Amino acid sequence: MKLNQKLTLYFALSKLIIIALFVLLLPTLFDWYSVYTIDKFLKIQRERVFKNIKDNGLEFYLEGADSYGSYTMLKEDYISIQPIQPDALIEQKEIDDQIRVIGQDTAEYRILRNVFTEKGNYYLLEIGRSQQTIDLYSSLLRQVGLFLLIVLCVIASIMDFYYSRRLLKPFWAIINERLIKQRFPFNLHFAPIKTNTADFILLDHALQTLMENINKAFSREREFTANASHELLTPINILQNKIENIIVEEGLSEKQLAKLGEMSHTLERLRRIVRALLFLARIESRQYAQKDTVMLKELVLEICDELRPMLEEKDIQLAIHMTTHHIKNTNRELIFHLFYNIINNAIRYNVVGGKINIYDRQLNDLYHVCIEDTGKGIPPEHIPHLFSRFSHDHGSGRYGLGLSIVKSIADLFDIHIDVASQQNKGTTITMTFKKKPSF
Amino acid sequence: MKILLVEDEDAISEEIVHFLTLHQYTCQTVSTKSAALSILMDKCYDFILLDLGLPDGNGLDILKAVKDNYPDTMVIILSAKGDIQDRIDGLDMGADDYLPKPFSLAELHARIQAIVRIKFNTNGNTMKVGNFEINLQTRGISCDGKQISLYKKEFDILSYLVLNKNRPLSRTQLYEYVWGDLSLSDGDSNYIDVHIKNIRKKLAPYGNVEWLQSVRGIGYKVHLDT
Repeated sequence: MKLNQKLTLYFALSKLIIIALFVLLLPTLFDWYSVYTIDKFLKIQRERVFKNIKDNGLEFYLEGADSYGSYTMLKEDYISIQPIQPDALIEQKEIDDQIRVIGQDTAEYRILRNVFTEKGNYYLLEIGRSQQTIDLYSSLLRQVGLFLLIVLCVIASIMDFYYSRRLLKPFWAIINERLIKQRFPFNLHFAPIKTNTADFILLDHALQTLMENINKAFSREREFTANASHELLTPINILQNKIENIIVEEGLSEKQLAKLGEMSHTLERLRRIVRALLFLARIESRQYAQKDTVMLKELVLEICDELRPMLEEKDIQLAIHMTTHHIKNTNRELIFHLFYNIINNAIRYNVVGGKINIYDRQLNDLYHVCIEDTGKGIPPEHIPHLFSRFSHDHGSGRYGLGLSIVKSIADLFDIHIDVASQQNKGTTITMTFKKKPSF
Repeated sequence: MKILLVEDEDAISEEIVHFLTLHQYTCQTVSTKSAALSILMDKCYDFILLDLGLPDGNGLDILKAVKDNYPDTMVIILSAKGDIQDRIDGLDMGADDYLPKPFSLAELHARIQAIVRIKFNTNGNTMKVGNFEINLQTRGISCDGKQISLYKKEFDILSYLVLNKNRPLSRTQLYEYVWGDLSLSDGDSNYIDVHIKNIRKKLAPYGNVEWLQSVRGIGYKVHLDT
């Protein structure tokens, strides 16, 4: 999962958790809070009643009667003062919920009770507020609270989303410019990514240094290859030219000529090895441009045309069934070399009057080319070592460097080579063109 | 034809000069960049064989000077620096050919001939061998006016042998000539034998092909009495 998706997911989840927690705690919290405010309100009312009594005497309320009672129109609040026995209310709470009948209606009230004395008589003061009002109040609070929370969460999420995008923009620029767009050898002519985040500046700088170092190591290797080839090939050149000049001299005996031929042959072998090693080094240091588009069918036909005399010599039947599939971003010379080697081997190790079948197919979205021969086959124990350098068929040097060059070319272009062989029946080489990883 | 050889390895110069003199070329050698530049100040050559890795600098500088002052002079780069970019640079700067070291003298001779052929567009450039006439320009071989058809590689092998007449060429030399850079497959000598067999088979109905000889222990040669 990409960082962007992860962050968005996290922002959404964290907000959801906060809302869920809030919804879970909300009823208890608001109930507690509304009770607390109501109690406070009741106490304030009590103070006012006592102040009135103090200023104007109890008669202000009683007006000559034994007791006093009053309630609002909808019976949300009531107040009463009545005489009482001094010990009637011992061990009762100051404020609690009780049911009262006010007028003709029975309702639950939160009631504050207070006993006081006036001229030696005990009175009970009750101030109540209906529970219904309290619930109404509490649920209103709850709704407003939830609404506000959701609005805030949405705003916060949007801000998170956009800020994180803005913050990570240089990071994606680094990924895109430095990692995805770059192909070896790296192009180092680039401006630093614009950012004021220290970590990203460090990352960008580190990547740049890394690429510079790789390029340096690469050019060092290239220089070494050039120097080594010069050092090795020049003496070979001298010897070879000397033999060439001696060979045409008059008066050489046939025996001397044969000896010179042997020397020349040995020298050619040495030269071939050095050249093959250099060729391998060049492929592996990616000195070949990958810009050609090749139609494999045409290429295979061209190779088979070049090898026709060999096919005729061995009386081999050749069948080519290929589509017009094109391979893009490749190097024609190297692909030619790859197929030439494999087809050449199919002829070389074939039997007289044998067959070669070349066909392609599209399987699971991947392109395959198969080259089937009816040759003597490869012993199973040799297949794993077929492509390694200097592997030998019991010292005969049969495989040499040819197939390791094939392997290097295949690796360069992400081609997988599969070898299936049955002794005395034939070999099938399957080349699978893997897709280059892309974002 | 006058040739200037710029090569710092004396042993190589010696052999090249010996070989080219044998083929009627006039040859002069220098071994440094400065010597090459100073000799080019007052002398003109038809051909320059140029090594790139010189002790006092890059041979490409000489190439530039030559192309600026004597645009008609033909240049073949001889280099052991196998770098592909080197080759592209050299050809871009106007070199007529690029021959990677180690090269065989027979190949050098063939390349010089090919460039001369292109440069002067000599249409009548036919070589006689036995009763046969080979035209390198049209890539045709005929006998008493009758055209004989050969495969491309067969013609390449035959013309290379004729061009280096009386010189035995090894199978590897022939193989490398016809395949160039791709001639890395080991021990493909049978390829040449098959082609030679086919050439003989195709030419035999028209005339004597005894001039196409096998040389024991080496390879093949075209034997012509001079």
